[in-house]
Amino acid sequence: MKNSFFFLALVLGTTAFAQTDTTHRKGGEWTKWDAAISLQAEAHHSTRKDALRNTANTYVVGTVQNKYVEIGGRYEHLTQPLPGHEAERGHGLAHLYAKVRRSGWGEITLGDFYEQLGSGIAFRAYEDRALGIDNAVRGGRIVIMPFRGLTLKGLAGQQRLHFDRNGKIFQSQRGYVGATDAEYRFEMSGQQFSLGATMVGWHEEQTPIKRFENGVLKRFRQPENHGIWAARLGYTGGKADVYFEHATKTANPNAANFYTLRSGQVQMLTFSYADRGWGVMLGARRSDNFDNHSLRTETGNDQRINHLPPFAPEQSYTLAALHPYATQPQSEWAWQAEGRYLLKRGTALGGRYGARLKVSAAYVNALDRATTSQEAYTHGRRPSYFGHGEKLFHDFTFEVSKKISASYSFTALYSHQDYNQRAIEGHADNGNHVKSHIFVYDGKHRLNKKITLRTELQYLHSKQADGNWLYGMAELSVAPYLVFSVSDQWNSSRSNRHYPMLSVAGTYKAHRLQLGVGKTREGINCSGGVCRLMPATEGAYLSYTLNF
Amino acid sequence: MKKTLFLFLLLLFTLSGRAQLPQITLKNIGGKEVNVSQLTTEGRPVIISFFATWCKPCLRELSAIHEVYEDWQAETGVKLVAVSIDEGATSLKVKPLAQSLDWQYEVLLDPNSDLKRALQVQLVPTVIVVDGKGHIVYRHSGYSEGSEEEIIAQVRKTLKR
Repeated sequence: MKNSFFFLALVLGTTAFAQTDTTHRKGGEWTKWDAAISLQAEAHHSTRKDALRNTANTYVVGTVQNKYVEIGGRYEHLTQPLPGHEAERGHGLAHLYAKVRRSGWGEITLGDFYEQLGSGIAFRAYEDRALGIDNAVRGGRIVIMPFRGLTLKGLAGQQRLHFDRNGKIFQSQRGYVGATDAEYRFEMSGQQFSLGATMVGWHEEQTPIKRFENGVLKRFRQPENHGIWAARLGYTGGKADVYFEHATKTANPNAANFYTLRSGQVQMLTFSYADRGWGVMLGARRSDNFDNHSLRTETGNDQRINHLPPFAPEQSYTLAALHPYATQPQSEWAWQAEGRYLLKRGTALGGRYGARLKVSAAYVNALDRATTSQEAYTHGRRPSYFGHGEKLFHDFTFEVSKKISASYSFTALYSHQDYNQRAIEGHADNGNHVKSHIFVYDGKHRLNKKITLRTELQYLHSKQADGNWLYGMAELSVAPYLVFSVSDQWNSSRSNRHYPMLSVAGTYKAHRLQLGVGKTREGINCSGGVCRLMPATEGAYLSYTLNF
Repeated sequence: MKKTLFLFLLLLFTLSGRAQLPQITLKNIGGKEVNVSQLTTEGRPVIISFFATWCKPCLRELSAIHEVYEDWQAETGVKLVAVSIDEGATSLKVKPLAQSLDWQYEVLLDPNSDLKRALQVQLVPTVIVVDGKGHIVYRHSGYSEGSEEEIIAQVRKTLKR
């Protein structure tokens, strides 16, 4: 902990010195260098007896570049990480790269890098600090644009797994991944088309696994090389958009599919149509045996090869996001629709200032048969294509936002959700399906030019899980620097527990400091369909970010 | 280790200039590619606003600016570029959102956070003001009602330089 604060003090001290040097250098494109540094520090002081007293996550990112060359790195200091981030313990230069590029021709990167091919169905390397995800590839990446419209990409290396390399360039016990991608884009009669193809391969040594074969214990021989191929098609007209992507993978026995030897696939089709004042989006996605990691024994968020974001609305309000859906890549048929409409000013329903309506629906089922442990080490059985199995989740949400006067506006939301807790979390409290009705009111009063009061009142009604919840929040913002907020989340029907929180956030230029005191409940924190269970906390929170 | 890091930071500072927009190409909601480093070639200031369809403060900020955007443009010639960090299929919800809210902004899609990372944006909403020469002159994270006044004040400052 001492180290964390020493490190923080060092960086802040240096910042004060650095900000005096902001003269712009003249010269050619080769000699015109830019440097940028950012800092993010999150600290927690716990008052719980069963938790570490002081914990902190600190990240410093630095880049230096000119038009043709870029060098960058990230130092992470997580010697005593925040609650829920224990697996990320460590410190060091976690990310380091050098890139050369020429605009319109391409680029070459050596070191650590991120990449998404297509929509990420076949391959995605990315970072999400809040969830502790960083599957950056360490190796080489090349992008070539041989002629207008065509982009070719190739990459190879090893994905990051927290600090397991212990100062070495690669961790020799783990596997390696490589990918190539081609995308061709063209325009016809003002409409944009794109065609793309991806191939991903990864290699991993055998894992010592034994199994019974005809009553004799034998070693299970696994394929060491795995592959995914994918193809995609995109169309963007003036108003309509269509996107389709298909991916298939070779047999990849792993812990997530009970070490079955059958191949997997995913298809996604989306359509949207939008015109001035309204828009709709419809989509379907089917995923069968498509949980891919470059580490065969991994079933969580580490070492993922690809990313399937949730095919459901991402809820923003606390209680509407209490039971968030996490993608089930092994077996899922997901459908969703979203529509938005602007009621114009001066109309009967729109009133003087107009109003906004949003309706969204998602319906997710498992495939008609799930892979079971009985199929381990076999080729398993394939589910039918259109067959729907048990319901995993549904969400129907209606939201209206309206400005009533120059100083008052509100948003009201109703959401009905059915969350299959047994299938998604592996356990259930008071019934497998948590069915909830959620009501949200969010009102905004502009008290004067500088001061605004926002209040939220939310109620979740359910007979399952923890039963009913109430949430209230008041937020006073003093533009442009300060935001004070006080909130309480109360379980009114079962535990009768309160989770109060008091916080103040200050923003000045590129500095942002937030201080909070209170309690958080154990719960699932999600981002982009990837979720993790965060432990209950109690105490003081500090968050500081800086860019310069 | 700390000594090395300290020296590394010192080196960065000695090189430190006024940061410019990076050489990154993103698609806009019309399906066309946009080179971010070319956003200010017309010599006009640009406001870059990072947002997501699920981020309420982001939408509040963009809606507040929408109310005064025409006045801002007439007065300063500023252009607002809204950059969505929505991932995967969620990025397909951005166009219906932008159209239904009648935004007149240029809307770019950054589904793997390439621009977000290059500009070292740590949270949304973050607003960056770029002067007509492509220099980043101001940035602000988080939104409090009325803070858009600070943004246009910074844009006006760039015109006086």
